[in-house]
Amino acid sequence: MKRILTALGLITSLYVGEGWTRERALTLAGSTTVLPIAQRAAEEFMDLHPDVSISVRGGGSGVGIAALIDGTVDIANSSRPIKTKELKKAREKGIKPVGTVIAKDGIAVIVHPSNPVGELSLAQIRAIYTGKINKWKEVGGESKTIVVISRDVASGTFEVFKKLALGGERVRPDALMLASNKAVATTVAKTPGAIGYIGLGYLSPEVKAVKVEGVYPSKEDVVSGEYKLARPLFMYTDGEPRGLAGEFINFILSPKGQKIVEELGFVPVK
Amino acid sequence: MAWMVLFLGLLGSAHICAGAGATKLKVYTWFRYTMGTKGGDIEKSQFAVKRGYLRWEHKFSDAVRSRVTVDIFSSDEGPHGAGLKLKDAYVEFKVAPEVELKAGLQKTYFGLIYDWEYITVEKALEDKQKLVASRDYGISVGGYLPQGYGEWRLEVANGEGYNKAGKDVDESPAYLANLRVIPIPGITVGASLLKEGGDRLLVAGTGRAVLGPAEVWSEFLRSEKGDVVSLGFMLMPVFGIHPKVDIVSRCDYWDKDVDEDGDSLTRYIAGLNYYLIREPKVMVQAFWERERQEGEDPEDELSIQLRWEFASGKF
Repeated sequence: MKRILTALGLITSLYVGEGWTRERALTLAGSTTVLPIAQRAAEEFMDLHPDVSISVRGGGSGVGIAALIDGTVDIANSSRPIKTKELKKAREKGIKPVGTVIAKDGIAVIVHPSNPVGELSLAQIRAIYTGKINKWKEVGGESKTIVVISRDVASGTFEVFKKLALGGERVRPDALMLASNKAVATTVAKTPGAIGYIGLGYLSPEVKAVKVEGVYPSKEDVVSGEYKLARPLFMYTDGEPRGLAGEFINFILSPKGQKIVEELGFVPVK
Repeated sequence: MAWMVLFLGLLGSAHICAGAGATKLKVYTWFRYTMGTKGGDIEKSQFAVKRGYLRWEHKFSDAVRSRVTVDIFSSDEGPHGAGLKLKDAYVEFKVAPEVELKAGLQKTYFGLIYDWEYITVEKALEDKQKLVASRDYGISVGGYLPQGYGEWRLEVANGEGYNKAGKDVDESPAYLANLRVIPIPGITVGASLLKEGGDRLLVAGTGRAVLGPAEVWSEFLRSEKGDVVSLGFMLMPVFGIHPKVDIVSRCDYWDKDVDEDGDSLTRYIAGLNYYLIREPKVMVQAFWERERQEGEDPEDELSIQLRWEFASGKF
């Protein structure tokens, strides 16, 4: 009897320790691309609502969606739409993932400002990044060797670039793989023969963005869908966003939240 | 020694290829204490590593990937107290959107066995009753229904399972078909069929219902081999009483030959899972199991298992 009481006591303390203190608490996990938006928005939201505690983790889109399916987070941040396999797992567990687009992101292809090449097709970009084109003169430039710079494989930007620009093909093995948008921009700015890709928020006069399929990577063309290397950023919830998760997503979609999106270099959706 | 070399080889390869971002390694281990009694007498009391998976996955491209898994576990079969099994060795090709072809040693896509997550420490009913093995050598094609409404698969395999080779494999291949549908979120129904040669037919019907923290798994099995027809079912309710704790119970019934009396078996299982960490998984499982063969004394088993896994990337 004593043992049963002890066991019940333990279970109760677990509830008290973790269950009941969760009111007005929100947990987010997932995409590292969405992470800065989620973090900044969480800070401002908590300033406005002192009774709310928001925890934001990265881990990648897949990790966030898996956590939503497991019921361990309220919101999964994702830089890609949910996959059919994930939808199946979610439906099996009675979860109805609903994605809300909270921002858009464009990936600009950049070269050194001295490079005369101002436009590339997706086929040319793919040929450069997979090693089929090695000299700038093959795409209308000088006879310099192309120095290929990419984001590392852990990056969501890499995943999207690989999918949209390379059609899933692998980046040439001699490409320089860098860990951040900033590192790519800095290296391209210092290397006359370089090509790289970065989020729109990292464009500066030190690098030159080229047109892709005839379209310059502007925020307007990302919004309109004209610019091909663009993607929506999602926050997934179980069912339509409601309760605290709904309040938080509405905050991100509000003028104040969309200003955060813009300040961080992403494209607002409202 | 051979295992050590194999393990180091796997680690080394994973490390070399990790730079290209195409290779992942996963380790998955079960450390279990088991106490077995029959008629009140203790017949077993031991610690053992029941599973030691080393899984090595290589992605050649978005359309081609491969998986190799070896299981190193405690065993009294060999002189070193450990056994080794090859559990996966296949290559997978994406042949169309949401359709893949697998060739090699792979899962047996039947009933609940192919995604059995060991919510209790016990095997799936078809595995426990040795109707099918969890893996087999063969070729399969399968995929997902649109919008996550389910999955399907067709498979041709040896039919004898992963632990049979050479002379132990007969001339008749096994043909499998599996379909799972999720008509509404939280309700999954499935049907599987396995036919081998002229005299072996195995059918399964499966169901899973999830409502909040409660879920119920169920499976019905019918086996026909020659003139012998066997029937059985499994029912397993799971209640999540806390984000870290699930309480699980299970009931199995198996009638080896419906035309014979006195050959049925019942099995009751109850226990809990405590998740120290959900992802990557570190958990403790504590279960009591009673199995009673009709007309015999019941056998009881208490299992306490520490289960952990980690990976170099997302699997």
